[in-house]
Amino acid sequence: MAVDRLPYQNSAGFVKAHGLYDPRYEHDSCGVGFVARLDGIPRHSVVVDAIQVLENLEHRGAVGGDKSTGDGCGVLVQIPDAFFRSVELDFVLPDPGQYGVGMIFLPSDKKLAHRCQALLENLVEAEGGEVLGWREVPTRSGILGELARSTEPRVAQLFVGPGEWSLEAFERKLYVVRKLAEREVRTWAEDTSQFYVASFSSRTVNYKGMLTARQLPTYFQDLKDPLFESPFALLHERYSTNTLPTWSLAQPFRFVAHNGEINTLRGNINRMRAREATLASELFGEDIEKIKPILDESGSDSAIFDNALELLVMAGRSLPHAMMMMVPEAYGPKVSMSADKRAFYEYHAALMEPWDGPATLAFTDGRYVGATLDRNGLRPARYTITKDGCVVLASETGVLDIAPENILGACGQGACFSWI
Amino acid sequence: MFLVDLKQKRVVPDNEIKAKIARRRPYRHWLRDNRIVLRGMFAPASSPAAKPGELVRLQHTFGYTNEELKMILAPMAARGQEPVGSMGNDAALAVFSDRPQLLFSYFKQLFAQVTNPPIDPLREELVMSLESFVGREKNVLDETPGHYGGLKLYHPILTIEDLRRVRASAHPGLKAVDIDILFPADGDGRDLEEALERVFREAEERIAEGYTILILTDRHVDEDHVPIPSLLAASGLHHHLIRRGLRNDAAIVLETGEAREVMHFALLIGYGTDAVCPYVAFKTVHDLAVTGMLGVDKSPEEAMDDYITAIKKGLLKTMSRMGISTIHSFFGSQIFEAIGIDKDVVDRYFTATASRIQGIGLDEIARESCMRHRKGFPKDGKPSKLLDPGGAYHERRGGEKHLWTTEAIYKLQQAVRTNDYALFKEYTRLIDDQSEQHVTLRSLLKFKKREPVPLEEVEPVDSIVKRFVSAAMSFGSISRETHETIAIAMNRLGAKSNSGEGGEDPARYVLLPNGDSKRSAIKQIASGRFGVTTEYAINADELQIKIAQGAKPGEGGQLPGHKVTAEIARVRHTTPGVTLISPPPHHDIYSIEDLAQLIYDLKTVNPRARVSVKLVSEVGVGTIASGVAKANADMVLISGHDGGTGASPLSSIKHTGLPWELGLAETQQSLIQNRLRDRIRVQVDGQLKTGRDVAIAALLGAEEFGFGTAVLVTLGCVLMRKCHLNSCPVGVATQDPRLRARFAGKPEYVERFMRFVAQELREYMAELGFRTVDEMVGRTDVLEPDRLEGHWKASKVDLSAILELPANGNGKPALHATRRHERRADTPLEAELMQLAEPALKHRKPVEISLPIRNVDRTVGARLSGEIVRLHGAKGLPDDTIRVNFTGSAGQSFGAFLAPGVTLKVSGDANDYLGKSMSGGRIIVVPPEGATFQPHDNVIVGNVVLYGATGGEVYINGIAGERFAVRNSGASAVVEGVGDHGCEYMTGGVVVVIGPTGNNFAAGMSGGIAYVYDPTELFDTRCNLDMVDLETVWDPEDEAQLRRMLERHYAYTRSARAKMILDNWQAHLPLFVKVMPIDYRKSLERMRMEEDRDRETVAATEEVYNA
Repeated sequence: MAVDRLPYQNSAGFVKAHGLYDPRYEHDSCGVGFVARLDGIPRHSVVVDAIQVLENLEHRGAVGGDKSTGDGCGVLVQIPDAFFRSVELDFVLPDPGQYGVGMIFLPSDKKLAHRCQALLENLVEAEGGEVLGWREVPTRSGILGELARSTEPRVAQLFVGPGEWSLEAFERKLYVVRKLAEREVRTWAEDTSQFYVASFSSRTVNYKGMLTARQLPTYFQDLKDPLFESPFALLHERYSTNTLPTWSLAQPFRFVAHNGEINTLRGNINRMRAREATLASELFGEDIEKIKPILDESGSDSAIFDNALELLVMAGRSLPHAMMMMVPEAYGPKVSMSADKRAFYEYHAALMEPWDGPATLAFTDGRYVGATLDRNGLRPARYTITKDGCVVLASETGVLDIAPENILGACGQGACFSWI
Repeated sequence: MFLVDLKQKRVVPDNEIKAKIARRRPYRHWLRDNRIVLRGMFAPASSPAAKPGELVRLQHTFGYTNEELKMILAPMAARGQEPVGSMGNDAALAVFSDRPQLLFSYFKQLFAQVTNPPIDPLREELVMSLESFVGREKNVLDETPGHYGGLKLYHPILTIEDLRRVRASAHPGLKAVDIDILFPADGDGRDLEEALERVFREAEERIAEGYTILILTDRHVDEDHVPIPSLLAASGLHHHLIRRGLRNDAAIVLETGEAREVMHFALLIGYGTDAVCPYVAFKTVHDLAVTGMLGVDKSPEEAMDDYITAIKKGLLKTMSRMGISTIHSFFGSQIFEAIGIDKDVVDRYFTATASRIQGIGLDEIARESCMRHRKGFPKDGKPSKLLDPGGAYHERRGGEKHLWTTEAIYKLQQAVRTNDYALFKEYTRLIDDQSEQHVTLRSLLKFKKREPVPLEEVEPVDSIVKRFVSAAMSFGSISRETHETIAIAMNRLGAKSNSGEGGEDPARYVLLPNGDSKRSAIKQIASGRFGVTTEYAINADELQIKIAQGAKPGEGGQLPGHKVTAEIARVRHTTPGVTLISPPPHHDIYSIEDLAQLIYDLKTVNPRARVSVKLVSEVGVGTIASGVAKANADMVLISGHDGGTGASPLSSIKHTGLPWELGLAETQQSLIQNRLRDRIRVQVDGQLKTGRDVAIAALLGAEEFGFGTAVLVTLGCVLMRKCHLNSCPVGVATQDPRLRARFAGKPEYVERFMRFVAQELREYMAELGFRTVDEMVGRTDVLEPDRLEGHWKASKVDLSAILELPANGNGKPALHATRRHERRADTPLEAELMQLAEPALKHRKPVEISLPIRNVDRTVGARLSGEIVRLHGAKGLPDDTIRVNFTGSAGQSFGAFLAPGVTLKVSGDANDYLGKSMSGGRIIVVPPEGATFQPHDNVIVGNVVLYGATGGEVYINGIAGERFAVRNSGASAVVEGVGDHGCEYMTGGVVVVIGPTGNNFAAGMSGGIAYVYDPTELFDTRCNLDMVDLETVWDPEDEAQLRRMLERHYAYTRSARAKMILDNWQAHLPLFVKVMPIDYRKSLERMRMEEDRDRETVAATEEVYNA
C-alpha cells in the first residue's frame, strides 16, 4: 500500500482541522503500568519484564489502518548508565548523575535535523550547560508498518553536562532548554512538527514510538542489551481513536503514563494560560519567562496533563504532592477522611481545579514510582508485590509470571490500600 | 495512591504519604483563619416582589414565553426538579427560527460516550461537588495562608440577598464593583461590539484599581438600553481577561434577567462565569407562587428554594453527563458546541468552541435582543400583558414550527391505512417542503442535476427495505402490542426490528402458525443489561451496544416500580413492583479499549451475530466512530439529537446532541481519513420521515436507515407527548390494559410505510442516476448547499464542511463498507475447551478438564456457553456436567454469559468483568496452590463482577475490586471483601461479604439481599442508605440461607475465614448485617400475601400497578 501524506497533514502525522474533522476531539486510552525493584538496584530483567507486561497488555492497545502499525507504546526508565558506558561515544561520559540525556525525535529531513541539533546545542551552551555530544540511537525501520514509517523521525540522544549549573538545578535547566527549543522551532517556516523531545533529564530516559509491544525491543536495539538496566520501568500501550501515525503522542510522557481521559481539558488549559501571568518562583527566577507557554496545546490530554504536572514539580512540589493537587480525592461531607487531609484538599482547591476524568496515572521522577486513580476509581489497576522485592502494577493482573509462593501480596483499587 | 520510594527502598502506604503531605503546612489553620463564606446562604431565599407592570416588561425584554412559565419554571419551583417529557425534538434549530432566540439556544451540550463514562450524580453523589472559590487567585507555584482567600460558595446560584452581601463586602480581599452590560436601544452589531469593548475596558480598569469581583449586571435596562446577551458578555469578558493574563485577578459574577433554565446556568458557568443571580427568574417564581400558578400550595420562599434546588440538581446532571464531578473543573470547560453562530463571533467571544455551520453574527444577535427589548419597551406605550406563547416544546399556533403537524400525521396515517401512495406523497411534500420555514439542516441541501436512469433499472423496493430498521424502543416504554406489531412487520419485509433495552420474551423466538415472527432481529445491550441472558444473546442477528440515546445522551433511566408489571419483570429477570435503574454509563465501558472488550465478549458468545454500536451525534463523534471501527464493530449507528424517548428531562431532549447530518458527515469523513470506511457499515436514524431524508442520508454516507417516531405514527401515535405519563390515548406507549385495548395498529401499516419510503427513494435515485444504494453512499458531490438569500438568519448558514470529501492518501477512497468481518477464529484455549467438552455438549456426558490460563485468554467460557444454550436451550445442562479447573490468571470477562451446567474454577486470580451476564453455572476463584498470603487481605478478582448476571453462583476466596455484583439480578455470590460501590443497582440475587467493604455500598440497590460480616459495626457509614434498610439476621429462613451459602463457600474454596465463622456460628451470626432494599421488601411481602390468598402473581402486580 502506497501511503501519501494527506494535504492537511504535517510531517509528524498531525492533521489540521478540515471539513467536520477537528483533531481536538481525538481520544486515546490504553494499558498502563510499571515494574520496579524495591532495592533500587538497576537490572536488565526489569526492562525485559516491562516489555513482557506490554506484550500481555497488547489486547488493550490497538492496531490501525495497516496491521503492523501500533497506536504506540514505550518505556520510561532510569538512565542506563552501565549501558551508555559500554557503547561507543565520541566523548567522555561523566559520573552517573552528572550528565543528562535528551531523547530527541529529529525531522527526517537531514538539513532540518541538523538545524534542530544546532539549536539545542546553542541553547544548552547559552544557558550555561555543557554539550557533551550526540549518539544516534540504532533503530530498525524495516519492521515498521507503512503508516508508522511515513512519519518516522530520526532518533538521537543528546548528552549534556552540568557546566555552570548546580546539580540541584540540573533538571530545571534541562527543562528550560527544552521549552526554549520547542518554542523556537515552532517559529520556523519549515514543517518542524517531527521535532520532539521525548525526555531530557539527568534521571530518566524515554523509549517510545508508533510501535506495537512486540516491535518495541526490536526497533530500539538498546532495550535488548543486557547492560541496559534500570530499577524501574514505566510502561504504556496506546489505543487511539484514529490511525494517524503521530510518534510524539505515544506514551509514557516525561513524568506520567495515563490511561483515561481529562474531561475538563479546555477549562484546565484556559486556566493554566490565565495563570501564566502570575507565575513566579524563586527556583526559576527570571527563567520563568523562558518556559512559557507552559502547555503544548497540540498534544493529547495526557500530554497536556504531563506539561502541567512538570511545572509543579520543577517549581519545587514533590511528585506525590503535585499529583494530589491535580487529581484530588473527593472530600465532600459524605466521605470519611482525616481533618488535615480534608483541609489539604480544600486549600488546594482554591489554587487549582481538578483535572477531572477517569484515569489511572502511573508516574515517576526517578525517585518515586507510583500510580493513582481518579476520584471515582473508574480505571482499573492491580498490583503484586513479591517476596524478593519486585513490584508490578498494571491495568490487569497476571501480566507477569510470578511463582505463587513468591507473592507477598496482591491488590487493586477500593480495597487493601486506600486508593486515591 | 500507590507509591514506591526507591531511595527509602520500600512501598509507602497511601495514608502515610498523604498524611505527610497534608501536614507539610498547617493547612487546617490557614483555612480556619482565612475562610470567607456568605452568611445567610442557608436562610430561606428572600422573595422580591416585583412592582406591578414591571415584571411583564422584564419578561418580554428577556424573551420569556408562556410555555416556559408553565412547562419549565412552574414545575421546577413546584417540585424542585426539572420537568420530564417524551418523544423527540422536531422543532426548528434556533438559527432557522424567525422568532428572536436567546443566544443560549444556539448551543448544544456535549456528553460522554465511549471514551469516558458519564457519572450517576444521584447514586454516586459522594464524588460530586458544587463548591467553588470566588475572588483573586494567587501564584500557583507558591503557597501561603493568603492563597486561600476567596469567597467560598457552596453552589453558584446567588439570591438577591446574597448578591447584596457581596456588594457590601468590606473584606479587603473581596471588593465588588458593578459593570453594566447594556447597549443602545435599536443598536446594531457595531453598537453591540462597542458596548462589549467598553465592558472589557471597564473590567480591566476595575481590576487595576484592585477590585476582585466584577458584577456584570443588566439590571439597569430601560427604554434606551438593551441588555447584552449575558452569555456573550460573560464569556467574552472571560476570554478577554485570559488573553490579557488577568482572568485570575477577579471573579465574574453575573446579575441577569436572562438566565432561567438549567441549560442557561450550565452555559454561563461553562463559559467562565463564577456565580449567577437570576433576578427576573426569581421574581417570576415569586409571582407564580403568589398567583397560585404552581399547582401546589407553596409560599414564595419555598418556591424559590425549590427552584434553586432544581437548578443545582440540573447542574449536577449536566456535569455528570460529561463525566465531570466538580463544578470547580466544569467552570470554563466549554463542554458545548455552537450551532448557527458565525465563526468570527465564536473565535472572539467563545474561543476554541466548535462551530461548524457558521450562522449569525453580532448584527443578528443585536437584532434579536432589540426585538425582545421592543416588546418590553414598545415605542407606543405599554407592553402587552400576554407573553409570547412559545411553542418550543409543543406545537402551538403562532409558535415555533414543528415538522409533525396534525395535517402531516393525518396524511401519513391515512396513506398507510388505505395503501395510498399518492397520499403518502402529499405527506412527504408537507415534510420536505421547508421553503417557508426551515427546520432541519437537510432542508438546506439540494440535489445537483444529473443524467437520470430509468426507474425500472433502479434497485427494487424489496431489496432496499432490507436496509431499513425500526429504532430501538423498549418493551416497557411502548406496549406489547406495538412492539410485536413492529417486529412482525419488519420480519415480513426482511428488514430488522430492534428489541430495545429490557430483554425479550423467549416465547417470541417461536414462529407463529402463519409463519410470522415476533422475534426482534436486533437485540440491544444497554447499560442496565436487563434481560441480557445467554439465550437472548444467541437469539440475535445483530447485537447492538447502546452507548447513548438521542433524547438523553449521557444519562441513565429509571422504570418506576409501579410500571414493572409481572410480564415486564419476567422478561427483565427482576421482581414485579421493584424500581429498575439503568446507570448512566455501561459499567464495563469506561474507555475505548473496554468497548473493544465488550464487542469481543458478544462475538464470543454469539459468533454469528454482527455487533453494532449506537452513538449520538456531537462534535467528535467521528473520531469515536473510528475507535469503534478499530474495536472490530461491524456497524456504527449515528443517532440524531431528535430521536424519540419514553421519558427524559425536557432540557435533555432540547439541549443535548446534534442533528444527524453533522454527526454522519463527520463520521464518514473521519472513517475515510483513517482508511477504516471499508470495514464498517454506517447506519443513521433521527426523525427520518421521507424518501428525501433517506436519499440525503445515503449521500452523506449512511448505508442503513432507522425509523422510530414515523413507525409509531403509522400505528396510531398522534404525538400527544404523554409517553412518560402512561396515559397514551391510542395504546401505543402505555402499559395500562384499558388503554392498550385501544391499540389499532397493524403490521401492514408499517410495511406500507417502509415500502413507500423505499419507493420514493428509488425515484430520487433514478433522477440522480444511481442504480443501487451502494453506488450512492457517500456521494456528497451530488449535493450542494441551497443558499437562503431571503432569511435574515438562515442565509448565514454554510454547509460546505458537511459536503467535504476527505482524501486519505490512498488513491480513490472507499465510501462504503466493502469488507465483511470474518468470524474470529477460536483461540487455542477455546478450541481445546470446545473439543474436550464435546461429550458433554453432544451427549450430556459429564467431563472434567484441567487447563492453564493467562490474562490474554479473555472471555473464557462464553463460547462454550453460547453453544450449550444453542443446543440445549436456556436451561443448559445439569449442574456440574462440565467442570473446568484452570490454573493461572484469568483474562477479562472470565465466565461471561456462563450457562447452567458449567463449573469454572481458577486457582490463581482473575481480572475485570468476571461473570458478566452470567446466566447459570458456577465460578470458583481461589488463590494459587502454594501461595502463602492471606486470601482475605488480598485482591483476587477485578472490578465489575457479575454485571447484569441473571443466575448462577460465584465463590471467591479473596477480595474483589469495585462495583461487585453491579446490576446483578439473580446470581448468588460469596466474597471475602469488596471495593467501593458494592451491589450497586442490584435488583435481585444474594451477595454475602465476609470481609471489608468500600464506600457507597448498595447505592441504587432496589432488589436482592446482601449479608455483610461487620465486626466493626461501622458498616452503615460505608453503606448508601437511600434505598435500603439495615437489619440483623434474625429470621430463621435468612439464617439458614446465609449458613448454607457459607458452607458451600467453604466446601468449594476451603476459605479460612468461612471456617472461622462457621466454627463459632452463634458468636459470629450477630455480626452480620442484612441489607434489605425497601422497595424489594414491600414487593416480597405483597407477593407473599397474594400467595397466601392462593392467587396468581399477575394479580399482585395489577394491584401494584394500579396503586
